[in-house]
Amino acid sequence: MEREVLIAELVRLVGRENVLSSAMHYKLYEYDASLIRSKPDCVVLPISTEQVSRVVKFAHDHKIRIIARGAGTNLSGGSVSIQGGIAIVMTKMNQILDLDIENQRVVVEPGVVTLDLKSVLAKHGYLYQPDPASEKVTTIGGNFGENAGGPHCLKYGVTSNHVLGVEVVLSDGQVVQMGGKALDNPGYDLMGVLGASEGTLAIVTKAILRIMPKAEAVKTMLCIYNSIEDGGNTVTAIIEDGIIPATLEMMDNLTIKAVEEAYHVGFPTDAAAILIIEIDGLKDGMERLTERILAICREHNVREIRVAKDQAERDKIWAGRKGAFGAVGRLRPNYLVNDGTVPRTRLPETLAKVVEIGKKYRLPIANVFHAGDGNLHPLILFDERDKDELERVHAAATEIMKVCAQMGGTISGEHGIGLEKLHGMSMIFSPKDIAAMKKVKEAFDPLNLMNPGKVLPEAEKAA
Amino acid sequence: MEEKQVFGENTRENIYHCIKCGLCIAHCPVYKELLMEEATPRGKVQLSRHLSEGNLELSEEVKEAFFSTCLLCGSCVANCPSGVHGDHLFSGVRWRAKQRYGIDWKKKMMFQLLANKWMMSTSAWFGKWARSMFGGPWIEAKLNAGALNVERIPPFNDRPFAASVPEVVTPEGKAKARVLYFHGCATNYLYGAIGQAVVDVLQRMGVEVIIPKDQSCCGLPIFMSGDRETSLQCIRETLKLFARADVDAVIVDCATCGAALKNEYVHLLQDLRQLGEPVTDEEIRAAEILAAKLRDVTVFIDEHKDWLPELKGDGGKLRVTYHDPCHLVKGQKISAQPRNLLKSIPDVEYVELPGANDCCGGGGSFQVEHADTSRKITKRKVDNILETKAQVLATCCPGCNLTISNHLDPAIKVLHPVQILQQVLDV
Amino acid sequence: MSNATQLASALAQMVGQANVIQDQDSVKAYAVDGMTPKAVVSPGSVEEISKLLAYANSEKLAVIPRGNGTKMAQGGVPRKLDVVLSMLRINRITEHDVPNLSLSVQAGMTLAAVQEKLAGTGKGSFLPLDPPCSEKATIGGIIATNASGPRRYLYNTARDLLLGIKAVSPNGDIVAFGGKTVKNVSGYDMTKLMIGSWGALGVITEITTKLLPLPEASATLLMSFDDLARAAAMTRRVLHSAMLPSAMELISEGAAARMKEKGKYLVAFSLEGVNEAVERQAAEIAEIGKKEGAAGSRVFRGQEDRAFWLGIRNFALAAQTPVVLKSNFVISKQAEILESYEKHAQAAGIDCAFIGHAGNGILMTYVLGSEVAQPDRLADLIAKFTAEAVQKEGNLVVESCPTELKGKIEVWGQLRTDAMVMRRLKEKMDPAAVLNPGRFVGGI
Repeated sequence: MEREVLIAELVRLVGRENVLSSAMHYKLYEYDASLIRSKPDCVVLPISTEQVSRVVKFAHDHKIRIIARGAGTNLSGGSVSIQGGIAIVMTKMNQILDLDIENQRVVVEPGVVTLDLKSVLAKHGYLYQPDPASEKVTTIGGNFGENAGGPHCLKYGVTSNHVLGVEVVLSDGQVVQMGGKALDNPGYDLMGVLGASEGTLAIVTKAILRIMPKAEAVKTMLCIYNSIEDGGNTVTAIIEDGIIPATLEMMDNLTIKAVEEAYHVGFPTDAAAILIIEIDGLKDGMERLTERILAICREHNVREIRVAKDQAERDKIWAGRKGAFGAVGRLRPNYLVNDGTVPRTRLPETLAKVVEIGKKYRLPIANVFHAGDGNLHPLILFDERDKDELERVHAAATEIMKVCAQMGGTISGEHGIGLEKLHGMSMIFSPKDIAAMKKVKEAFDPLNLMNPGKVLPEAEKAA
Repeated sequence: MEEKQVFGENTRENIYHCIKCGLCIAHCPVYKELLMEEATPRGKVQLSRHLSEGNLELSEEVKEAFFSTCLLCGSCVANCPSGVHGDHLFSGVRWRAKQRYGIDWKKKMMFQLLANKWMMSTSAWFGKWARSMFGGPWIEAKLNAGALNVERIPPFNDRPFAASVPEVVTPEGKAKARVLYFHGCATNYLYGAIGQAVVDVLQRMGVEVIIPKDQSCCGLPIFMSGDRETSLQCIRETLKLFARADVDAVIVDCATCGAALKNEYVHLLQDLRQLGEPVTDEEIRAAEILAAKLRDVTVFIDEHKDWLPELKGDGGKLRVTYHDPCHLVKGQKISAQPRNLLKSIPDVEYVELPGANDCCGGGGSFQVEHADTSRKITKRKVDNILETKAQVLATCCPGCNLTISNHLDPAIKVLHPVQILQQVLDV
Repeated sequence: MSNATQLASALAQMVGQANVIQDQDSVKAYAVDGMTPKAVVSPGSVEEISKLLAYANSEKLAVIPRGNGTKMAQGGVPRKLDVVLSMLRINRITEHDVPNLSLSVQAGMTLAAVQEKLAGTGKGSFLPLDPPCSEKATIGGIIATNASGPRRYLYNTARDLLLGIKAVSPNGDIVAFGGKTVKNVSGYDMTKLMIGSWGALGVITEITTKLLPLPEASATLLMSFDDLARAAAMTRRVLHSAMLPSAMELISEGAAARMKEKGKYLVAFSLEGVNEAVERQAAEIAEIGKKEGAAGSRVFRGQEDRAFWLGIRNFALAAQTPVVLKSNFVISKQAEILESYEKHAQAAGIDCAFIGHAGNGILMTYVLGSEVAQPDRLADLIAKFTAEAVQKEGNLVVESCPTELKGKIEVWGQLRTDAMVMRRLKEKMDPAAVLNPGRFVGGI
């Protein structure tokens, strides 16, 4: 379809003010937070389910590709229109529709920013548990599409564990409801398979989320180590002892330095690693639990332990952790973040291998990780203007994925496959596995118009 | 498309440190209202990149994006984990845009006025006269000042503040310190009372205050609009009068002037030099001296609070809240000192403002030219203030003062913290 | 379409003669809704299952997978039934990673056997699922039916516990999804899709799940109330508090009596965790109970504690109720629904016992044995119950009932707008309708 005709039709469907169609706008929506860039043919910002449905139906009838995006902070290229088409930006659908404390649910439009939602809930003493580091800018819809995690998912689960119902627009424009405020609606867990589907199966236009009262007490500890191995072993030992903290995060020296420079939160810049441990729940027994944890840390040569005295100190520790990715931009202009996940017990080994890979490819790697669930984020640092370096970066990233797969883990814990990790899918799935997933895709999107080229590799490449 | 570079080398490097993480988006007051990528700092950094690399034409639309979707509040800079100076990039684009498209004639006239002191004071006097002769609600209602309600803009001072004080104000007894006072245009022409309060309080603290005559505009509103050349005039004038190593401090009462003198001059001069403008080493050194001496009045008072006489209240409780001006809290990272000052005043019941460091939505000329967006941002600020049930909103920026008081319940007074302090000292 | 002998011999070739049952009397025991299979096979390996399904797919046979059959009564009448596929020989723990707190176990093992093994290894752990009949229910069946019990209040259900799943697709492909890691977004979340899919998208052969360490202490607090309003107010108070019981059940008088407990409405709390937390909660919740007008309350531990919850979970079995209904609805409407159900039941003259997961918006209705003699009145009652639940944003599912009744009622409740997507999915994944045809939502 001619671009002019396309634009005119979209203007008719959603109104002039919600269609962006200039050279400047295509450049603005050609990227996300990954290294991938590719322009859409047109951009729309619908304001209602009705509008989304109309646009999708129109695209379906004319075989035009579509991609739904939120804030565009995707790390694997999931939000980039690699085959052109219409970019459906959901940011204007940002209303909290129904705060239903009585039923412990909140109904939101997908463009609601996660932290904004949590701020509203906090006023009522309630929480929405998933806390991805990007929560102050990411949207609920984006979180769901990637099945975002965050430090607290060790105890509380990831986004799809807290999305109990959705209204979606299917690939042909039909609007259906899945799940709901009530639990256990009969049938397949369609919502379950939509989580982490990266916009390739349907577009969420409403989400019903589980909310819960905030915990009575919380204790946050910063544990400082002279060796990464000791930190890693502490993590395993804590779980082995039968303690499931709410979070168990780790940062290595390079990251600590960047974070300190950016935020001045008081992390010691000569530490080999720091562990952020948080436990929450009833206050009874928390002291004893804390003591047990600290004893384990001491058994593993912890250098220093700081327990946050109040909310302000707690916030500072978390500010340092949540801003970690961006902070490494001070060390080198760009990073590629790996998202491999391994069984917790194999974390120290995996880390050692990551260090080797960094040396092999002569690239600095800063490490941040959700140590408690084995999800590493090696940040490979480079300058994208150096083409040789860029090549080595991709090679290093692929090798890290291989290592994680070999350790009995997976290649993506929370950032999604997108385009970036497509070539890694064969490391963890057989051609038959991929064939089964393709059937799901075909059931939802027979014409392959929804975010094509992402998540599932072409059949031939799967071997 | 210009053959010239869009940015100086140092400024350009910022582009390549943007990793597109998008965290800046969470802090941008304009994005909150518009929800489109062009309104994000990240988006503008990426556009800057394309402009710099020659992949994008600086079209009218691109120019519009840089002017209408950005208040240059600096919230993005303060929160960018990579330390990207988006503000330097954006004002750089505005400069090239101004060179290509010119500046709106009304604005150009205004800037010429600001840069020319004689013209400024004359027209201020004229303005006051005209308003008292011909003003009145029905005329004012017909004038268009964008989001500003004309009738609620404060009247010009009877005479410029600079004309109402001697050049040197000496304290009782031996002076404990000697400072220069940069009063800025707003205090000079609209908020004389603030200027008086600054002088009074400093004098009571035992400080000798020198208020040079014929001060210039700090130049910031001019170069933020892209007219770097005209602003150079202001910068040079200001450096001449204020870049002195022999004083203890250079005092400002305006967050924006403070940001200009402390943070912007050095960078701007260096950038212009890298882009081929004739800027000397001496000028840069002078700007560095000035930057080192610069103190917001609340910082100076906080640093020397033991010089204050004992403060006694009269028992009447005053509920006060505080708004952090962007150029103070984000540009200069000053937020504790104004609060310390307020909390130390007896009879003040201090209550923290939710979203205290959210932008007020004024942005100088932004509120006139982009009224819709500005109004939405200001409304959030006003709602938050009302929530505190404060009787007084204190803030350290006459720009914020103007914007907020223009939309706030007139029963709530908007004052500079130093004015509240002055009242207690008078008691 | 093969004849019976041809089928039996083909099956024997795949799994060995000893593992095929085909004589008329024996296969009758494996009938589903009165339909007798032609043969029952017990494969001993995943490869054998793969061969079986590939065969069934090409011959267009209908296969129903089976563990110990504790949930066979649920679902629609099969459109067709050729082979019952018994999973009982696929019953080992394939990996118990003690320090990682994860377990990989095959479908044919019973939950009770799993729990016993876990409790006795290292510091002791458990799989926090407590569906009915765990002595007989197998892992595969529990997961395929998304069965759960009272402790879902704290520990949630299978979709929140499983890390990975291995299955055989209807066409015989052996597939594996997820793994051992708590987080995994590689590809589609097929694990979630398989949970509760009623064996219709594949035969689950193995799951990998996270475990929890055995709690340090446990106790039960049981209180009785004279009226529903007060009991409901109690559960509401606890729901919105910071208290963390592992279960909170609302038990009607009829149900209580069968459990040999007195009281018009009972509220039972299971408390598990560190000593201090259990003691504090026992005391504090009892206090709240007093304020909410509890007629009585007591705490019990140890054997009595375990027996009580076994009684709740296995209520249907013990009371031998032939009709069990599960209603789901928004949490706050528990009292309203229960009250309304009681009225309807009374008006219909049908004796029902009710037990609800008071903090989850789930209510189990147990219809007593004698009532099935009046199928029309029962069908009418079930329809009324369903309408009530739907009105409260939920639905009603018949967990078990005599086959004769199935034709008169919607065993899967009211169809919703996503049923069409389910159909499409089934058609893509099982085009030959090999697995459980006709038994699931919308007759797929």
